[in-house]
Amino acid sequence: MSSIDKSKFKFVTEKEKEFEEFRPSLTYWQDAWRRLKKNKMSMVGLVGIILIILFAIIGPLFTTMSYSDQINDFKNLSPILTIYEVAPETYVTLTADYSLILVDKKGNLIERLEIFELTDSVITSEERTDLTKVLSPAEQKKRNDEAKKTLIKAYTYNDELIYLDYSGAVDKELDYKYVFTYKGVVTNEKFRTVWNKKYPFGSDNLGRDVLTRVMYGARISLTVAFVASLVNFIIGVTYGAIAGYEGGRVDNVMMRIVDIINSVPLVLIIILLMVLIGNQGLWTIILAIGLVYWVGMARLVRGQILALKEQEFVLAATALGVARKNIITRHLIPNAMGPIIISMTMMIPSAVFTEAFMSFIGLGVSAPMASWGTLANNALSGILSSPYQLFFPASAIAITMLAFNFLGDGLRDALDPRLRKG
Amino acid sequence: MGKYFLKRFAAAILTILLIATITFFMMHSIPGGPFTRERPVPDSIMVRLNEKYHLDDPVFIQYLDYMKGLVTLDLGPSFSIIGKDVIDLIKGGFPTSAKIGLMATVLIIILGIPFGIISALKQNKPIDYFVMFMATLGVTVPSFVIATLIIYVFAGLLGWLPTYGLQNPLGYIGPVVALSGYSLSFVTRLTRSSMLEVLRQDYIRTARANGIKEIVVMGKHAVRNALIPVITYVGPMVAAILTGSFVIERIFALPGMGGYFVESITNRDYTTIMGITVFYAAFYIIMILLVDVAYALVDPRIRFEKGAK
Amino acid sequence: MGKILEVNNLKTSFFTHLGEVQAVRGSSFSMNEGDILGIVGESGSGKSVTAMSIINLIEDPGKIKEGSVIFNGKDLTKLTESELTEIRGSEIAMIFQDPMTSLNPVFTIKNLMTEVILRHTDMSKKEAIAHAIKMLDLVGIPHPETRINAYPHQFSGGMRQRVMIATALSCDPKLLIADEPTTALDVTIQAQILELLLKLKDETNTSIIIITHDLGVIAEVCTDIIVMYGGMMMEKGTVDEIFYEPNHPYTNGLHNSVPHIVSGKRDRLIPIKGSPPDLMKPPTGCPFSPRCPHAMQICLEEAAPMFKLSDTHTSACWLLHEDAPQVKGYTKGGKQDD
Repeated sequence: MSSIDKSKFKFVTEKEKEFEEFRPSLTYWQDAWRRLKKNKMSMVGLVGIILIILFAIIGPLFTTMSYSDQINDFKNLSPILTIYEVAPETYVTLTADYSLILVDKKGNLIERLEIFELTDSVITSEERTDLTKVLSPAEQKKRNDEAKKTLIKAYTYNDELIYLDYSGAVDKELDYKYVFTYKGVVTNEKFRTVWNKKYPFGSDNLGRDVLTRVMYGARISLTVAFVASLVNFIIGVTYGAIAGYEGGRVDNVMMRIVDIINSVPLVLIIILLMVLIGNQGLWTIILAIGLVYWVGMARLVRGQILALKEQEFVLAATALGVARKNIITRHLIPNAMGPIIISMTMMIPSAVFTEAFMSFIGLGVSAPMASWGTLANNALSGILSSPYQLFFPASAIAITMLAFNFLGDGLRDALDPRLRKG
Repeated sequence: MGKYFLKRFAAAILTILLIATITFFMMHSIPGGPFTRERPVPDSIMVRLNEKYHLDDPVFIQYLDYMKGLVTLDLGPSFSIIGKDVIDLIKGGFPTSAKIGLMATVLIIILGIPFGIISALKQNKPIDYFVMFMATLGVTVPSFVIATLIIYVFAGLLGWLPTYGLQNPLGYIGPVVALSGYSLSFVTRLTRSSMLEVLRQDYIRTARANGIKEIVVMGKHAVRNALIPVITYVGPMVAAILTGSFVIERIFALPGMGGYFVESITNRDYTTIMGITVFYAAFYIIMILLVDVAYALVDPRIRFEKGAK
Repeated sequence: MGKILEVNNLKTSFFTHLGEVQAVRGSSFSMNEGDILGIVGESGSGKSVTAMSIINLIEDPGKIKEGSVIFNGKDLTKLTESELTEIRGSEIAMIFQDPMTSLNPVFTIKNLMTEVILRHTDMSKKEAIAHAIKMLDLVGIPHPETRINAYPHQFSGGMRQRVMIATALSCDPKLLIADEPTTALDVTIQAQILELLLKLKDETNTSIIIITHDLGVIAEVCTDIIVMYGGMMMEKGTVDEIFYEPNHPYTNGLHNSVPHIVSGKRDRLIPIKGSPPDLMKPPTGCPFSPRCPHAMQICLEEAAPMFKLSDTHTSACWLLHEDAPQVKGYTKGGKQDD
């Protein structure tokens, strides 16, 4: 047997034994927060939500345009401009609807060039064109027809014409897309692509700034979502708590009503409510969403209260003569707060979704205000030529949904210890 | 068990009637009649119109007429599409909507459930991450965005699909995919989490401890239990597909009910709104009833509990 | 009687994303045919993981790190998954703690039982049903021919545990592992189930391992006992040795925390202070030392080896070392067991 130092066989005192690390005792919320912080995805979600809110609140302070400012000259401008150098230090860019915009090298917009109708005058006005030959009216007409056939447009710049041959954009067989001719110089190579300095997210079909509109859209969509969730919270918790606490016949009747409401697709009820209330303001949609979505919350709270009210601490409070209202508000609801918060977090994105949906079918806020859904709806008609008009509001919706979903999943893990992993 | 479903069926009929009633009075409490337009209609015409559509009767008589009509499936004439009855619109639009909806449902079930199961079995492996990534995208991107993206990419840029209509069988792809996107993702996520939950259950351990082959443990013991919560989602799924079709049919310019419904909302065509709402609600309630039947067939606990009552 | 099971230096860990949880840290024991071995310990002591390790049914992220489990001459830790499934349910069967959740709710008893029988025997479907009915009758389920068509939720807890036992014994296993078989049941039902197990053991000569935290259960049915704590074996011996000559402070602590009813005398219950160790970072020395009333310096530094007190009785406590101070009730100078 190996020899062991005899001094080791000496009793140790309680104090010496206390090498054991004691976990500090945390309250439910501290513990939840600790677990939430560990969950990377939910922290990404939380940061995302904060950024979106900042984007909505202080974003508009940094833009020069208001959401309703229209600049007719700058319609349907993409956020990324393809510019052509038609003459030394003279740059132009072309929009989806063939407006030619004079820009500088860095992507600042200067002005829209007047389109020059290719009529008879083109051919006759010698100083304006290099097609200087004087033709008979019949020949002129033929030329014009040919010009149209070969898909040519002309724009005025410094009393000269910039000709654009865009056959390549229509006929995919051709190996060029646009050919500019200015003062006899032919340009068919793009100079470069630059970020649109005036409209970082592009402009819409009325020349409004998409960035500003997405920011204001965020205000509307988030207001709808938060306020509707609040309305839903107040109604749902009150209704559920009363049904759960009272029990018996009251509970039966109240839950039958919920069943009936729930037996119709909720969006249908919202549509009816919005048609009924009529004027298409912000509050209409908040009211409609808030008045309908509480049923889920009510069911959840009722279930929680039913389970909680049988527990000893509630019985103790009842025995001590605590008023019913206080039992509900001070003992029952705080203990059901975990699932309620999870449900609230999930409610917000679905309200954003519903609002977008309503706006999309034409029941949203009225112009010139716009939510993300309205913006997406407006972009629909121009989807093939200006996809960016859909891209930005749609991404805003998706990012918001994603952020709240991540946070919600994390909260579920953090607040519901039964589902806790390992 | 038969008695239970008879009771459920009666309750469903009652609910439909109740919804019809509520819808009727909601629509009739809207200020201004259906012919209130920005440009006022001359009074004489107004009187004639009101007479023609029985709008001069007392509301209660109108209500009785409406309910009477409802029983015989007569939902009255459309106020904005002259010469058409609401039921004709439904008859015309429903087959298209139903076809698309059914295809979407089939797609959701045959893809969503296997994806969810695979994802659960390969938890935390690359395939799981990929499936979950797609499924998360699916629930966060609204259906109208998916639809427009499909048009932009597959119809516009690539030219593989038609941009609208159903003349070409390929035309079904866009609407069906856009319509099923959300629910497909949801079913995948639900199946996965339900499957993971079931795999933690004691009876799975029992089956393994009894030497049952792993493939049987999964295929027989786990999947059947995992599907129970998925079946409960089928009801809400029907609702999601119904409401989703409002926008999808508009975007793809399909002659379905959803398109008519949205149109009727913009036109304030009250009889059509009312008729289609009641139809949707009835359809939904019947679907929920069917789901309950399916549910009881899968889960014996429900079958016997309810049967005992 | 031959050795049926021999477990050597078994170590099982769970590799979670937070770190390795060392659930079992070196268990060694053996049992003979016909033995009823009790493994006792509080929750988290590693007793259930030991049992699951025997049939190699450790779920992800758990793994047997070291050691061997020799059953009938075969090392179960070396077998492939398909070889193991042949043994599970036929040669080694298991029943679990909660009969309410251990039976698949969507299948009938017939379906569940015949599935196992058909898997491990050559019986036809008809024979399997007849055999299942016979087994149900054996475990005392009334009207087995009709009850076999019922679903699990139509049985009470005690009846479900009987169904579990009937299923487990249907393929005539040599070893039955019962993981807390009575914990979830009412006290009267507990006694019935234990009685049933004893009766069946006599009829079938199956060896049984019972895992429990309940000393009463152990005392009633077991022939041998292992006391586990913090993933390690503390003491091992026959029922008499563990109950009448306990030689480990933890075993003593367990005894003191169970009410004894001795005529007219009212003893005070003495709980064990503190809580079990965190298996994520187990103490370097004896796992019980932080809670032990007789902890010595060495206990904090090094886990005690097994000291042999008799052929059947060993204890892992430094108090038994010849250099240790004398404490009343502890036999000093036992031989160190290798």
